[in-house]
Amino acid sequence: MNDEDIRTAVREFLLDDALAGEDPANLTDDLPLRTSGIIDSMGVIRLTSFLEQRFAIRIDAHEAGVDNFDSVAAIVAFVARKRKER
Amino acid sequence: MRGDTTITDAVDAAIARYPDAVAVIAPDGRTHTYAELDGMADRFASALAVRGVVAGDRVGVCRAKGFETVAALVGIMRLGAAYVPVDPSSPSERNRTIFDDCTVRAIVTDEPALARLGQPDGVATIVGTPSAPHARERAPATPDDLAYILYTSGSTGRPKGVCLTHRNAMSFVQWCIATFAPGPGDRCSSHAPFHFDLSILDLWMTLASGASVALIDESLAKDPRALAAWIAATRITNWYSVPSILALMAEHGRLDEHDHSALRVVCFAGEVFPIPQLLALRAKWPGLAMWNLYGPTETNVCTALRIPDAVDAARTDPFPIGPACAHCEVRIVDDRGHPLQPGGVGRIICRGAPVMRGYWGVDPAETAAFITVDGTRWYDTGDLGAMDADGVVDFRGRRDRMVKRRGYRIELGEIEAGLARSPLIAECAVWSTSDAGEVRIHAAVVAADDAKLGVIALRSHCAAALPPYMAPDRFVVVDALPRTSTGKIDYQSLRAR
Repeated sequence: MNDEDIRTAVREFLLDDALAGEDPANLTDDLPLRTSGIIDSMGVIRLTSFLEQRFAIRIDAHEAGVDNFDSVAAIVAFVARKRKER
Repeated sequence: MRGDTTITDAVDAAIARYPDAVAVIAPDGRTHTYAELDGMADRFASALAVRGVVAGDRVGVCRAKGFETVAALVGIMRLGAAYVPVDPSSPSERNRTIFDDCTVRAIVTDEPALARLGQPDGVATIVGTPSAPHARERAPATPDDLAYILYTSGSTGRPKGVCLTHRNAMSFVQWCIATFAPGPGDRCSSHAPFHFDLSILDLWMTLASGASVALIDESLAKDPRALAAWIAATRITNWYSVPSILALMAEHGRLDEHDHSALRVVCFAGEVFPIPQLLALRAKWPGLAMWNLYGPTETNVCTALRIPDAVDAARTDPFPIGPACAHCEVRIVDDRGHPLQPGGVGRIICRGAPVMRGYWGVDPAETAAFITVDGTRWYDTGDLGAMDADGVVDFRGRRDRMVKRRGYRIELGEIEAGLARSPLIAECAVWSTSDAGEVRIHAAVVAADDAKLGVIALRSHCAAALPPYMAPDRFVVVDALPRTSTGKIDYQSLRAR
């Protein structure tokens, strides 16, 4: 599994969950998701649960903040790092 | 429990009796004694007095939760003034509307909140922590003076200020102390933000009884895993919150990994606790006292039910909201104010010491929610209920377009007004659905000429125009809103979408 697979999975989840109905082209890698209010705290909880199951990682509470979850690019980098740490 | 005292007198009595006990556990874990609370409250009182605040004034509070913020509330009340707390993360326009509405004399704030709010014209601000006091400023309030104003969602899009006196608060606080028996050594959570009425129990029950209030800041409040760890590490004895975060903790909190043996009382209020999640929580936290509290901001808590220790696993109906608390009276009446027979569904009305004085700037005689029954004034909650022969009330929903989500009161009309401010939106309609106790908010929107409406654009607009808890869960873009034959928006047909 490479970064592109992670990116695809994250995008599919977001476009199906919080952004249902959005044009996929508008979900760019660096679009701010948390600081813009596009995804709320409940959306992050659903996303972390999905990532944990899909990628067999464990996300600690302090890791689910804006630093790691504000954009698709940041989420992908974070998941890739967690997988290497396993 | 008639509330014949003031919040300030009750807290001052605890300060005198337990000066060395921990009063506040800050979000960073630091502890502050009652003596320190006393000194810091005087600093705020003194700084506010210098800025012209006198008895009868209102003082805005737009500040992150923390020890100093609690002290500021005490300091404001020591001057005989009322505090007006707002959510620092709410849109600044909404907060400025609130402060203008009740003409605050001063605003207590911090750097990040002030940057968001913007420097208000002609209103003094205290940013951060004031320096040491020159004097102990005191202007004692009476029980019937205003203690605080909590702004709630208004159906026209304009928040309305619920005015509560010291008696309103203390009658409820005295009931809490008699019921939950907090005392020195207890550590009580403060999960709700201070602009939310759950904070009245968290702050004033705790600080009137010599116990410690443990503050949960905004970043921790929504994180079920971090909260479960925090409850264990802080050895919380009394918890109070909306059901939704308890349900999230039962589901995502990894409760099995933590030692929660210090917990002895768990209270929830603000919305219906769906039974499957309540059963899950009861199984993880057996043996402690669980209470379902009910009451709109206007009445504090007016009914309460202790959840049985053993709950039938086959139960599907939510628990009743319980009988009236000892500090007030509750009745179920028909549209003309006549009491109903046991089991009849009607309006839940309340009277007594905890019921608000009125809405800020509105003549109580003009307030539709105040009704006269048997020659006295009652508050009509707008909620529907049925009472059994033992006086236990079962909640049966709302009469109007107000919904509760994550414990917040939301007027769907306020969301519509907020959405309509977007230049991208020509018109919109908002409705809610409830599935197994989970409330979802839906919005149908019609794009303004040539505007391309996507969820990203709509959510970005909501973040700027509405408090986070009001943002719709789902948007449906339509060419035109469905209308009934009389031209009204056809919500029935929207619900089917």
